[in-house]
Amino acid sequence: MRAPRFAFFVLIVLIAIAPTILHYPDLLALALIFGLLAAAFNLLLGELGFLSFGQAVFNGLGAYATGLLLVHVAHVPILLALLAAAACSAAGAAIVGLLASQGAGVYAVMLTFAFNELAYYLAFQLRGVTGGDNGLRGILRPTFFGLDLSNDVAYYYFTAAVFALVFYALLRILDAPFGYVLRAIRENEGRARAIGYDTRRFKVAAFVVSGAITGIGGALYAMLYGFVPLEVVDFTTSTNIVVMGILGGIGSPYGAIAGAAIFTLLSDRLSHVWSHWPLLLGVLFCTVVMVLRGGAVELVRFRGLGVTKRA
Amino acid sequence: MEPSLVAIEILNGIVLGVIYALVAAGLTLIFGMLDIPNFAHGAFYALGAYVAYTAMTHAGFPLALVAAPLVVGGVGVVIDALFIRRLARAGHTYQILFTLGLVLIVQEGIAIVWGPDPLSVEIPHALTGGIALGFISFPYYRLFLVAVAALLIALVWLVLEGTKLGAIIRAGIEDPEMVDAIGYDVQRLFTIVFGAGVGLAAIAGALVLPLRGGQPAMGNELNALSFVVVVIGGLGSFAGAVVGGILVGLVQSLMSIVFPAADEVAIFVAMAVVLLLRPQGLFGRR
Amino acid sequence: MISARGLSKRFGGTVAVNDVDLDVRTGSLHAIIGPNGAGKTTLFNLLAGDLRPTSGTIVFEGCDVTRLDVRERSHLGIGRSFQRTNVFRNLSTFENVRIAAQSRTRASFDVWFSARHLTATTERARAILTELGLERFAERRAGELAGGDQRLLEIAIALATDPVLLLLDEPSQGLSAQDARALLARIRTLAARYTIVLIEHNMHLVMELSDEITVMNFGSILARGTPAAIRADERVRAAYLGTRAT
Repeated sequence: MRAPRFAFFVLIVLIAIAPTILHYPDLLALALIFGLLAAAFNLLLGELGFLSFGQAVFNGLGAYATGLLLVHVAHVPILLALLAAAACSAAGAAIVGLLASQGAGVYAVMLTFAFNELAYYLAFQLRGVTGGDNGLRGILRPTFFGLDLSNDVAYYYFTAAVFALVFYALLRILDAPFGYVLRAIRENEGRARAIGYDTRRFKVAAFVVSGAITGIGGALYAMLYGFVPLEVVDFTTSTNIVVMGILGGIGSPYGAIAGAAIFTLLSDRLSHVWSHWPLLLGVLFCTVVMVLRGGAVELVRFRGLGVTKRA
Repeated sequence: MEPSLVAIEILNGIVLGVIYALVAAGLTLIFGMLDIPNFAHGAFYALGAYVAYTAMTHAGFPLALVAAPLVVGGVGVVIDALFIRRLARAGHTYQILFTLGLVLIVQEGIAIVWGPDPLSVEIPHALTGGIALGFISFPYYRLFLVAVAALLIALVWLVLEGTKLGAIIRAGIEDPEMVDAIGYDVQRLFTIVFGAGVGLAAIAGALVLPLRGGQPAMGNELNALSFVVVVIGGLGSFAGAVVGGILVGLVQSLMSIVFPAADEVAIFVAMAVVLLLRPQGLFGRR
Repeated sequence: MISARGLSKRFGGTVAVNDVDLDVRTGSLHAIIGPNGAGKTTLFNLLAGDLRPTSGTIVFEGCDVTRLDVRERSHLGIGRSFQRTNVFRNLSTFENVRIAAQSRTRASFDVWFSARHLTATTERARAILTELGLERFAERRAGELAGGDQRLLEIAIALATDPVLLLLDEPSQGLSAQDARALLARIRTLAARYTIVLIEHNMHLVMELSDEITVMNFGSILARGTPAAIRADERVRAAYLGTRAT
């Protein structure tokens, strides 16, 4: 990866020095977590061409999996917690993917929405497991090979390390033969089938990857706040993820990171200034949507923040 | 189980059902005609309630019922003509995304103009009281609501089945390209349908206002349920929305006395099942 | 190479293809012609796997492929191009061909190494582009290519899947006379290495290229034979009433 290597390097540097510029490690960690969620969404929309309105399901699976593990089992290694989250959300994503890939066009999108609502009400009803409205509480942050992560800055750097690894893996996936097939499916699924690709399998696989990444984000979130609110699986979370992904520019994982960062930092800062800041967000979002559609029109042509689309 | 209790729940189910039917009818017309799920539909329902509130406090309830759909329908027409039409070239994904942004704008807009706190209005004096049913009194207002809603549904049905405009709209739901080809201004049609669709949601909000009061996010839950109704009834099918709406209303009401924990889950399971096994729903054709 | 027996396709009340028998010899260039509505496209789509026959069988290289879909037939060695250009418009011309070539590798689920490492695939794509004269457009967006070049790209994509049988659906569709002649030359070179079945309206192309012609009318076979035989056939002339069959 030639040009992307430079962008990745810049990203790493930015992440490394961020706490020295903005002295809110919790907020920065949240921005990175949302970065993962947005990048996972972008994988489905930007690469596969699928608008997923149910990413919160995978987020919730990851958060609750980690939360439950850490609450009920003693001495869980932090990496195992992350792995468990990824596995649970990947499994959930496989199911959603299998079902969503059956439907065509808007039906598939509505299905992701239906699953999100379903998951939300399930989480609400299963009070004994999830804590329902009150959320899952009492999650203790494990140590990382002896390193105490209770310090916010320390946890930020842990989050950053996980983020960097996952994001790097995502970049490799996108540049691998698999990524190219996804883009072909996005461009012309009929032709992709005609030249021999089992498009259904690739779609499910894309969901699994997206789900796993989202689940890791959920896990990091659970350990960040020590608490999993019902909101993690709320449809509003799904729409926030959509907003982040669009704001940063579809068609580029770096765009997703930027969108997540903008969203997180703005919403935090603005909410102190004006309680009705979502109005601005809505206006900004609608403006971006209106502006994006001009010119070449196709989704993929948008050059998210200067990083051009490959293929 | 106490029979009058069941009877009450059935009546409540119908009250709920006709509200769902009105909102879903608007949503399904938009979905069928413009081919986009209007995620902001619930927000327009809320806006309708709030416009009705203002109209009520200044000019009385009857005017509120007229003002709500007209004002909100007008807003819908403007939004579609200025924005959603322009996005048509870019594809449905962008239009869907735009409606998502609208939710934020409308909801926060309501909170800014009317304040974030819940508000309530009194049932119009002429409609207070209730009719005796067994041990319980069933409110006149609810009967009034059902009557008005039924009238509106009949009116819309009449327009769709009996007028030239209705015929064009139905044709447009079936095949927008064909309608365009035979010379009708399809874009203008889309705008009309969008305005009418959100207008229906608005009047539902106005009708519900004296019952449940209002708060900026009141549209969210209804929004989700409307999508369930539309999917079950069939995308683009007016009959489906009405039947589906009443069905969902009844199911919700009855489940609340039979198996309260499961009603919402059951409803979304039903939605998913329909999408998977019979995506065209009960009455849809596509 | 590919044969059909008793092939029929019914759509509701209409019979589009009626009890058709067809044999395509390996190495030949076989054209299917006929007036509009004769059922050529339906027959073609049945051979390609886009449609399931109502009755009858299709055998390809000894395998019964009647129940197989386009994807499975593609892997057996059937490559097809589309009548209405069906390329990956927003991908580069090079990528259009490369991704088709990639489908023949086992690497498509590889998620770790860059696709650039699939050198065999990349080279094959370049070779096909060069062979069809498209190499100078390699980095250009497929949707930006001129009509004639897009039709060539259509064929290039099919070629990249390493087929033994090429199904070409009206390859000269929408082309100027000059471009059609250039296409003719290309197809002639391809005919040396592949078995080709093509649908065409351009009679000049058909008569020049074909080893064998099948004429369809009203869903059935009207006549078959060499170009000379078809040219002389009275029934064919009658069917085309008014069209020059030269």
